[in-house]
Amino acid sequence: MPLSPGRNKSQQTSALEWVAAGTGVFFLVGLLSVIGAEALASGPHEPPAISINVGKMTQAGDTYVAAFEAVNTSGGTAAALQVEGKLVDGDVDVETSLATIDYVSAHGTAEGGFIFSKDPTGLKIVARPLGYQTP
Amino acid sequence: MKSLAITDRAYAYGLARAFGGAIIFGLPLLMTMEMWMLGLSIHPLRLTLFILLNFVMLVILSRFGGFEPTSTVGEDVLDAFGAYAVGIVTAALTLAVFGLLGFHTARSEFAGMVAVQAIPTSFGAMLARKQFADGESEKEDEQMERSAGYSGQLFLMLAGAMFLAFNVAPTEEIILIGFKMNAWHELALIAASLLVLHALVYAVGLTGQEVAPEGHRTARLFLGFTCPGYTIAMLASFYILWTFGRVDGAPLEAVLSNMVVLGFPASVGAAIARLVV
Repeated sequence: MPLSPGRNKSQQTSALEWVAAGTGVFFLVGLLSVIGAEALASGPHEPPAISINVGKMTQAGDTYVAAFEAVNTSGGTAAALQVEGKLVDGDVDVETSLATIDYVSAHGTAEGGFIFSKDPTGLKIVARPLGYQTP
Repeated sequence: MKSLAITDRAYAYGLARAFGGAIIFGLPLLMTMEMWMLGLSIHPLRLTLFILLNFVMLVILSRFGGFEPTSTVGEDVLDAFGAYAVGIVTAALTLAVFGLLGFHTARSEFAGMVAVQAIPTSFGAMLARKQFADGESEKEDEQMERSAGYSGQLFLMLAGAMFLAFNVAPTEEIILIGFKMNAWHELALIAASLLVLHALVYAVGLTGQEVAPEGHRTARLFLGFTCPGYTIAMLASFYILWTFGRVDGAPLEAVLSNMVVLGFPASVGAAIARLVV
């Protein structure tokens, strides 16, 4: 008995094939919608907006390390970001540390640390981004 | 019901092979630093265009012999989605294991990084059956026949050129080599590309084996495959440079020298496409 083309096809296309294809559609649509939204927002042309949050201070060998987090709140990515951390005693700068971050993605965060030789106990740390490269 | 279980199992084998192919073709780029950055810096519209173009290429590749035998175009579309699923999962998992992606990763960074990597991995997933070839069904012969025509051959050249060019284009070295070479070097590289392309086309035997006098055959191969092949390689190189934003603001000479540099791997890719696909 000859099979109809439709019946023949449903035999060849396994359920797993539909599952795999469905997963593909789901992921593709997900990726395209995120990237598409970015395209419409024309994010990459925005300058990055970076704030530096200084976190915990730990003693590491002869040095003192202040961990920091660079938070980018804009749609533009900063590459080769230079960050400066100053140890301040009232109005007097005690010590300055520089750090370079490979990149902070749009709406992303990156972590690093300032290394000081003087004990920062009782002193204030003032941190700010210095400059970046457009990726 | 029994036959359905068998096709499920056959498809599961196909999927497993697809993961293997995705890893083999994807690893060099998954472990390339410039590719991680590219996900952030690439123009989103150009990336979207590339994702869609890659999908069309996957459908045609499936037509010519994808990771499981197909008979209708509808099945090829399903397989292209399946290959993308494998490609995206492979890319995301590998990058996560490398510690490059995590739950803290920004959404756009995640999407960009995975989407860029999913292009070579999905390509590898689609070509998996050829790499881990096993069965020889009549469907496979049918698929081979589909690609035997002239336009099919040219498409395979395009796919091969795109793939190899994509593999080297993200690195800084392409630009650096372009700076290092003078006009004579560039002319020599063009000649070398043509020579390699022609030699491989000749050796691999892209055409249907027609009986013709040797000289005639060489000339025909050169005009019919080597010249269009090199044009395809150059166009693929330009397209990939444009997608990666390497053309913007660059002077014409710099773009051309980058195209010549990238044209060399693209030519090799175009020539050996028949072996891989």
